[in-house]
Amino acid sequence: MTARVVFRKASRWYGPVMALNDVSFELGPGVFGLLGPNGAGKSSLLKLACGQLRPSQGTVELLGRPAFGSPEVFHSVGLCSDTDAFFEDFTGLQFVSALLSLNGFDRAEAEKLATAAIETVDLKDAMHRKIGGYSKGMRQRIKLAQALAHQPEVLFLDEPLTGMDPQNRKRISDLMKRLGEEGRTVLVSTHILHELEQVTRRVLLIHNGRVLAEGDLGEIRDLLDRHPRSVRLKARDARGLARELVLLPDLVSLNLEDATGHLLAEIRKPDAFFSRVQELSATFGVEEMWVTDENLESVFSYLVRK
Amino acid sequence: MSSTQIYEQHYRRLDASIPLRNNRWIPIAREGLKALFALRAYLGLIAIAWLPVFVRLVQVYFTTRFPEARRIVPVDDKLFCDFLGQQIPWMLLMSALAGAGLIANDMRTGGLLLYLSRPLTLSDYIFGKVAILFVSLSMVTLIPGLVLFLGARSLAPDVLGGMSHLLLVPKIVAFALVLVLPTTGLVLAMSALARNARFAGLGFFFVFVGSTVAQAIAWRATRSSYAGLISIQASMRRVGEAIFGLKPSRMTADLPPEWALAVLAVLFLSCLVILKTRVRAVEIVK
Repeated sequence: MTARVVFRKASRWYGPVMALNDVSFELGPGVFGLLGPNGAGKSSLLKLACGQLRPSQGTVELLGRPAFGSPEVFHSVGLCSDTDAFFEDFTGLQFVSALLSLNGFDRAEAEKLATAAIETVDLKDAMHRKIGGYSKGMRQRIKLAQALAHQPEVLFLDEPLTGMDPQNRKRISDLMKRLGEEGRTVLVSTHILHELEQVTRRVLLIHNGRVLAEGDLGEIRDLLDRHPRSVRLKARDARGLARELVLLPDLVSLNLEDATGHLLAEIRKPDAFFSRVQELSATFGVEEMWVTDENLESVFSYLVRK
Repeated sequence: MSSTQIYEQHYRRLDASIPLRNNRWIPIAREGLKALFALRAYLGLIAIAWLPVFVRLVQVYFTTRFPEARRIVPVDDKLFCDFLGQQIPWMLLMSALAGAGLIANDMRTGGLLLYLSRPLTLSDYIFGKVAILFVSLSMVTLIPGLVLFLGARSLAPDVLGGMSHLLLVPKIVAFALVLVLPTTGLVLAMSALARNARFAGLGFFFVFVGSTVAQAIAWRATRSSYAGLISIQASMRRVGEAIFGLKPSRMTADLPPEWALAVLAVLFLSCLVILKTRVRAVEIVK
């Protein structure tokens, strides 16, 4: 199987700032994680990969063509960016259909494909509602739907699970996994290791614009487990949820913020924590969950030292 | 990063080498216009901007009843030139309403990525945005101008019914283009420069109205018609007067219309260059 995304000694800098430095890798079919802390160069790498930026040095190829300046590849490429840009007055269906019309689909086919994609991300009930009224998680899902709708061969997903509730995290993780099993190339960018674990073992670890490691997630995961991580939760009954969570043995700390009503937890074993939250989500109305994980930074520092 | 794995392909494979289709800007323009037509303010502005058409038609009707009134309000080329000139304020308001956010909002929110992650070129994107504003501005200039002509021709066939009067159609089209194209370019360039719809709108007004104020000051100081070249509005009016074969106004009496047209053409091309360079520079360091 030929590689669909190829970086050869690619570098990108903005004036004196080096965003990406001498990066080389190849991606074939399957799901790949692009893991790194904020500011590591993930978004620059994604923008290079999907042709939004020209490499300052080296080459980036997408589906056998130079990624920059080949808009025709977007017949087969989908991008779910980290931006929060929508046509707020459009309904979900209109939004996805409108973007499909840019791919050249006629109205009937665009609506058909859009409906199918919206169903895939489980947003069918809300597809006739205006996007302006969507929650953060719904906006993430409609963004994913527009990236999937034209059935691309290569998908770039930038922080796709941000702001989703546990159930939808699971659903979208399963979807990404399925897309990889279908033979698509899916590159998922995230700074949350746990998100990746559910969909792939293959990761690119990036830090300070360099690829630090490329390979199995397990080893990186072991490193990370030595460091507690912070998770923020929004729930209808935050106090009730807190009473249950304090019973977890690997909970380092738990705070209920008066101002926001959010729970802020520090945890050591994320697997057990996330599983427990998922079990409790219906009872206590868990609406959103974010991993505000600054501690990844220390793992990367550790890797750099190593 | 290779591994031995068997994949099942459950999706329709679209060939990445499919050539780009033609008229890729049309969906951008269509969706943009659809969004604008859903705005009450947009529809309201169009409705208000059409009121002068009806006022002018009443004026024409009045002259058919009282022909002697034509000495005061003649039904001729001047009527249409004046009408289009008087639509400039509506055109400015429409520019601010429909145009100021067209690119600024996409650049501010990163919405540009939504477009550029489709089989489109940057030129398609810009052309689509130009088309949205071109149509919007034509709704308050070109189309009312043509409707006024058709209405006046049917109300006063004795004055405007001749074949020679059909020449008014290309004149109206030409003057409307002189009004709409530089304005479209300017407001979109401002939108790309400001990255904020409000600032873009203010910047546009500042340049458009400010250039007219600067012209007035320069004219008072020099009494030179060439001061008209400073003003976008004066240049437009001078070209319009030439198109309709009218006597130029006092402040631009000696200004060659070719010069005024050249200024507007340079303005439009400069705006296109700004769009090409600024819209490309969407680079976010994270």
